[in-house]
Amino acid sequence: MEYVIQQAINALSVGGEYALLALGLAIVFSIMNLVNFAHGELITLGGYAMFFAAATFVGNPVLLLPICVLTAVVAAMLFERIAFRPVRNAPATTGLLTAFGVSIVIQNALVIFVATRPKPVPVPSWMQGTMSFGGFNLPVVQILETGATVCAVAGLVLLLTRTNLGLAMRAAAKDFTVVRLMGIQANRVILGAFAVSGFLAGLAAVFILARRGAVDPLMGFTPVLKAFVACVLGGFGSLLGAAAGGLVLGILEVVLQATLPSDVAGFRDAIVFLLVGAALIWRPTGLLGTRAELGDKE
Amino acid sequence: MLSLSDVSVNYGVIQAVRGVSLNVEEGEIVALLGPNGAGKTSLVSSVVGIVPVSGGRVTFKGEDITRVPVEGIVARGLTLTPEGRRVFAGLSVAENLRLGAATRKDPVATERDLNTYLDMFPILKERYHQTASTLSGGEQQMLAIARALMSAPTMLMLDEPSLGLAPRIVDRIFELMLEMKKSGLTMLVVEQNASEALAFSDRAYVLASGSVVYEGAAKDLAASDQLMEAYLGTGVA
Repeated sequence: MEYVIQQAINALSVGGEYALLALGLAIVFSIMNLVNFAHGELITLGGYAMFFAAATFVGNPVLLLPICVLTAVVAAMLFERIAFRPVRNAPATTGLLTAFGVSIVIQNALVIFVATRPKPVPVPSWMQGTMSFGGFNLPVVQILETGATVCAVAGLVLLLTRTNLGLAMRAAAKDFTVVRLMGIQANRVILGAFAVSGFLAGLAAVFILARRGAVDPLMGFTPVLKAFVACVLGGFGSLLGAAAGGLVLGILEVVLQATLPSDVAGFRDAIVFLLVGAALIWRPTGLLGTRAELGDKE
Repeated sequence: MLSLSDVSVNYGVIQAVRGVSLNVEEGEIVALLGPNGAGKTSLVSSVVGIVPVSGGRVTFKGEDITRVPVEGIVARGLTLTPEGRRVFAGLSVAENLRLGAATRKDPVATERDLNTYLDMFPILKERYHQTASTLSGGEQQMLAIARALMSAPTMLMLDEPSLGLAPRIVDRIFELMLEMKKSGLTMLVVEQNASEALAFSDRAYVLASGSVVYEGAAKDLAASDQLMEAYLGTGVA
């Protein structure tokens, strides 16, 4: 029983992590038609910010957590301002290549100026312990991650339904021109979307780093790949789809991890992708995606 | 109030608007007529800054707005309800109207305007919390107009407000435009529905192949079968 509960909370936390990352990708994609493959570097940069802060002036590891989130937000906004804004009106492939460019530049800058080898990231010791929850011993980091995901998604829903910026982001996902016709600054909406995506990435980064305990220049690749798969699975462009896709992907991974016999466990990711592929044959637009409707006339 | 001089709009090598000059005075309703593909939509889109003006000058209230981005033009009090309505389908009527007023800083006046327009378009009050995609075409057009009005414009351009709507609804929308005129709004209306549009407009411009081929009082154009036939291909109004 304890094992089942442990695996369930594990599945929720991994699914939550993927959902946070996928939401960050999806919110930018829905507005700009840009798959920001540099999204994973936000995690990396958050990690390095924690490493440097710990090595220099921050003694209390709890303070490192907001530093990580804040760094990811600022980095995401800088990506937009420096890299993506100049190519905003270019064809979609240009944006995609720009994203890869940003990713490569950051990875290599870290290799050259910091180190290739992983650097330790201190996190508060209580995050790595376990806590007793209804008689079961569960890892603190997983409970926090599940809780943080729920809070972040609830916050995102509030932002998208209660604030003008959120309404404008939802509207811009469908018809950016008309949003501008309302007098709303395109730059602000897009910068806002990047800030939100940075916040979600930073939040996920805290937990990824708490698990790994170290940061290295290439660590952003796997998370962004998982987030991308989650978006495709959920239906690209749909925020609800991204969250659902992330959750399903995480649960699938954990369930396979827990149930596969040990001699095929190494093929876990291959099996996951096979199942995702099968799901896409069944529903080519993703679980919650809809076929884009074309307007009569632009 | 709005003045265009020698305005051109190009899409690559294709010239959609060729040196159009046009004036709209304060308090007027001006009709912009012409067949499909004459460049009417391109012209109003370029005025509001959605598509770039390739040549010529646009001034609004005496200020050159030729290169001003769309947000800035809307902030100066000139806006457009685009062709095909383009309401935010996934958002509720309330949210659509709220976005229309998103840049306003005067909550009291905004609230007052909201109530005014909900009285003017009672169907929007009735469907206030419904998703815009559940509205009929005519209701969506009213929402698009009300949404544009929520930004408190002094001049509104309407691109084909009657497109695809039943005659009864079209009449209602034109009536509403006359009401808006009484409250001091200046309007430029793009229409294919020439005879109807001329009935409530003060002056008219006819566009063909990107150039102005006629300008004059709306009633003169409407009264002349010859002119109507020549420019608009509608013999009997």
